[in-house]
Amino acid sequence: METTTDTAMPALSAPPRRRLLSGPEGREAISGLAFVSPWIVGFLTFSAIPMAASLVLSLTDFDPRRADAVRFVGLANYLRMFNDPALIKSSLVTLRFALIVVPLTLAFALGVALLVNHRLLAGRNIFRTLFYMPLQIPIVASTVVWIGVLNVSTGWLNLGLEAIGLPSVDWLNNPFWVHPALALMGLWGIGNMMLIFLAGLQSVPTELYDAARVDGAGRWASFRHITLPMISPVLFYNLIIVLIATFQYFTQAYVITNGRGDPGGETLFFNLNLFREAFQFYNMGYASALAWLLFVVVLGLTLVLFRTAGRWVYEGGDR
Amino acid sequence: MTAAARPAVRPLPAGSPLRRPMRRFLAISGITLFATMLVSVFLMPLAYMAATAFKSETQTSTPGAPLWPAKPETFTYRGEEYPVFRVPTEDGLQSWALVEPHREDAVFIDPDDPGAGPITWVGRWRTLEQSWSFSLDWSSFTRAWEILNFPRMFFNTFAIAGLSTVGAVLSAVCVAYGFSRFRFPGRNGLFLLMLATIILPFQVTLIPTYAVYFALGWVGTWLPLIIPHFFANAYNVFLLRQYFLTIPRDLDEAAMIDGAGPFRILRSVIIPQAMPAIVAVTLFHFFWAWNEYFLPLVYLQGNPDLQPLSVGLGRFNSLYSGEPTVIQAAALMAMALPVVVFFLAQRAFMRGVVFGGVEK
Amino acid sequence: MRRSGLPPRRWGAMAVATVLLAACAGTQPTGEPSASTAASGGAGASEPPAEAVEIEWYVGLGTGTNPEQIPIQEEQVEIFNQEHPDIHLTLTVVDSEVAEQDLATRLPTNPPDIIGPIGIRGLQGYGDSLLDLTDYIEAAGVDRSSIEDALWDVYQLDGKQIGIPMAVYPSFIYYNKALFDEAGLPYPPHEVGEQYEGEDWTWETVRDLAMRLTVDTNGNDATSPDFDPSAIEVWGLDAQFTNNDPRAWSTIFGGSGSVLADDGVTAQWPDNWREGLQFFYDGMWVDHFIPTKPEIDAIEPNGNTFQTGRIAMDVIHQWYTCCIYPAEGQPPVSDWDIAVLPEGPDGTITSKLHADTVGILASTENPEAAFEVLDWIRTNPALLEAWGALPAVTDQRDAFFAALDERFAPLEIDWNVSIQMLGYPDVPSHEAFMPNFSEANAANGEFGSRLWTTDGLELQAEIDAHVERLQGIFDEAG
Repeated sequence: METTTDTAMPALSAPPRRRLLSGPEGREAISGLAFVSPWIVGFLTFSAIPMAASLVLSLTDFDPRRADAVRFVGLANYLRMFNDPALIKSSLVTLRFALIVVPLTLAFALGVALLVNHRLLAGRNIFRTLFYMPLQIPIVASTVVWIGVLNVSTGWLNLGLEAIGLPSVDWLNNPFWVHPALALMGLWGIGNMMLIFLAGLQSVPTELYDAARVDGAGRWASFRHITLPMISPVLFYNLIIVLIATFQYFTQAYVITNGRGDPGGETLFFNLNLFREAFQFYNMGYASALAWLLFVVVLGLTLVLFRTAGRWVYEGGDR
Repeated sequence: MTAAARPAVRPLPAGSPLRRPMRRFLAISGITLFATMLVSVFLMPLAYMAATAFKSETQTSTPGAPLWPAKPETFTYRGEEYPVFRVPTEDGLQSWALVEPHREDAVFIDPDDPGAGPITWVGRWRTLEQSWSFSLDWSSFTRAWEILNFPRMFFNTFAIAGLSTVGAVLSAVCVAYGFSRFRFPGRNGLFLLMLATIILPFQVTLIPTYAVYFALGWVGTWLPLIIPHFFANAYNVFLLRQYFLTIPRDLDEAAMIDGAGPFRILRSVIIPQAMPAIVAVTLFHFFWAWNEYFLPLVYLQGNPDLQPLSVGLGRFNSLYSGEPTVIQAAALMAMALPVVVFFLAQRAFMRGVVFGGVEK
Repeated sequence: MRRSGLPPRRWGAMAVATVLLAACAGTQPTGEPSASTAASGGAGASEPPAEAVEIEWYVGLGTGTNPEQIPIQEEQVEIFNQEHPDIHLTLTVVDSEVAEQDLATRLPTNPPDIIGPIGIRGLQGYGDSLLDLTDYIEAAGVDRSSIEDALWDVYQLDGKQIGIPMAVYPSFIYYNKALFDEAGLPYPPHEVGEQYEGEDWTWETVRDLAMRLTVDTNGNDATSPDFDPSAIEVWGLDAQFTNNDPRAWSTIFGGSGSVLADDGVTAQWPDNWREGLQFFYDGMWVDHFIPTKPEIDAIEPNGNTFQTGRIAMDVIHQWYTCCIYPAEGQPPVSDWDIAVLPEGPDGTITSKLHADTVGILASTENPEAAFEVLDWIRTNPALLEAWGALPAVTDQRDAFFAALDERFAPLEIDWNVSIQMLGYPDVPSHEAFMPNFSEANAANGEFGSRLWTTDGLELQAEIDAHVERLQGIFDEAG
């Protein structure tokens, strides 16, 4: 673990390990550990036991309704994965969805952040507030809204399409259109990402733009060579977070389809399948095994991204 | 979109009648117009939501009803209300009240001359246009207000979200500082472990987590929704760490030469420089906590007096009597405060204020 | 592979015990006021006397979560607590959307004592965790003869009596009088055996009637060649709240049946069910007198279609009286009544039956007190009326209907229809046991969704494919 992480995260150059915790390095290590200690305590108190428990449960046939009848089944849950069509289906659905949603969401959030940060935009405060508003609607309400907006005959989206001469689409019942529909719903929630990009844009010194202008750089060039590198740390953050969120995609798919994966299994995302195993079929052991499978895959992806980070993520304050 | 980098400095062709303020005005108008159009499309569902909230239950299910909140024009005849339709007759289009609909004919009353009695009109009433007039129906709002204890639930939501945000931000600043500015053995491993906590789907840790809080005696209280956030979560720490890493080291070192210890560097260098990110984390966490639904439901069930709004709204979504107009009305009411909070807080993102003095 | 002295079963139990139960060792509610009071609260705002036994009643797996029902339940719990100083009853109401997940989360560590109201299907899920009530029923001297024998059998599971029948809900046709008046058609029969316009009251007759009641925006009914199926304003028939349950549809339109053959292992879709499902499917996609899923979403996303005034006849259960006029605001349906179900393709009338009860989780620490509460709930007229629950106890029924009459006045609903339909229950139940129940149920749901949303299917071939899939799921049960 230690060695892989060290090479995987060149952004954090490996600390030279001389005599532990003595001398200036020792003092620094003690300070660092002290600042990090709240998380360590919290992890040990609130996260470690549940995580370990789920790993143990993945080796059992745990059914929450019959907790006393739990049996150890070894690797049976993991072996079952090799012969589970729902797992294959849900993995493919999730991958396909991630390929659309991850780039789309990042690009849209960045675009909106640039727009509402534009010095020539009048009423920036209001626009920022407006673009953030969807995140302030409780999920129970926003799903009902989207079911209404996306309805095939009365939904405003189709009424709009018809008004400009396009055919209407059965967004939620057509296996092809349901992913674009969910992606559209996802775009509605870019508020946080926009906010984080905005914070990143604040860290770009205006002087850099002035200098670039003197050098005769165009808009694209200064975006490409100043803005992007300077916000790359938060871009990296958003990328990792949206990736994790997409692989755990669940809530919208669950409410829109009542957890069934309609239409035609196209919304049976990995986590929805996991949820069904856990709370509809009560195969909590198998669900835990699925969770750890997802864990390994996403952690692997994250590590790969961290490995590439050194090449494109600017970290001026690191050492 | 990156025009921010290039204010209008390029000289216009000679002889252009436009002066610089004029050009600037056009640029502002253009961008603002574009943003307005984009946000209008973006918020279309919100308009739908508002329109729904102000509609009566009757309107939502009446065929041919307008998209905006309206009520049918009616006429009261002998104590009963009847809807008014536009009826084509030999004397032109008449506004008559439909008293008795049939398939191939219908009986109307002329509101201008009710004394004339029922008029039988031959034709299909379903092809006629009904008269609607704009009208906001507030009953969904009053019903939401009556069923939910709004002041109480607002207080609960605000208290839970507020307290957990305080804890989340303080602890995240502290932990992110540790991860980004100090070298210590196992740093990378710990950081990865922290990320790992958000990679494992929460569905499979739900039961053991509940067991932990139950063992602590916290079930039925706000504690499981607040206390854990005082121990830093990965989302916030990761973001702040990313941001802290962009703050030049020279600033810390200058402060260190002045004899500042780690705490003072955090307070006087890092925090001021990272204010936009800290504000982002604050808002991010606050609104997450504001809308969190399942965990408050699990830990506060059976104790309606402690529940936040998100859980209360679920009452209008029950299995056999969903009330979409009331859900939307309640959600709009619940939104008012967060929107104001956000509007005030986002002023922190004023370009250049923070980094203006930093020459890099 | 395994050499250890402990049997594998033990190892699993130990591993889980170490991690899970170690976390909550010594925190069982007994003698730990912090945990038990924290977990309760709820309706009983008054502090319980020191020696009172805590009983938690969990609502959310069936009816009981409507905004109008909650205050009535709270009030009744309050009354119970005043009358029973030795028991402190608390009420937990959880959104039905998430109740199953929530309950599963609580069961291993902090289970409630009583769950319900809960239907037949729900009991399949929790049956093994429920207390056998046989001894308590005897000890409390419950009069078994006050309830029909067939209803007792519904709650027999592996020789255990897991519930006392509390409420029964026959299904019948709710019809909207205004839409019949507009079409100039007589109302459907209220008596079994009565004819309709000289025809026997069969689903064929209903089809013809429903098509004449189905109207588009131009005023054409579904029998007209000019009828526009994309602009329907009124549908002749629906079976609302059946969601995507093909077993329910097959039973309504085809009569009693089972997906499980008599041998208990073979999957099937009986002929009368095939015919019934074909009737339903064609009603949606060919003859257009039944709304499809997208059409339902357009008029009422929650599926309460009858209440929109755009459904002429709707097959729903007795419990629908919980959620129909009088409700808040101006109801589009102000004049309605109920009619008997027609004869199905199997030559008999079948009224799909729902039944509700409350159960006691076997993990309860105070079974006697819990049973006392259960016995009180199942015979409480105020609760039963709030749930629209026709009492299983026969001599309580007149009072129940009288209370409904009061509520629906000045309408005079012909409750005799409900009594008649009670005589034609679906046996076996459309919610009956299937091997590997949850997964089979989910597969049925997927199949139902497909029929509900997809035009132009070759239905009988689809059924064959589905039966094959069910067989695979049944076989896995081993």
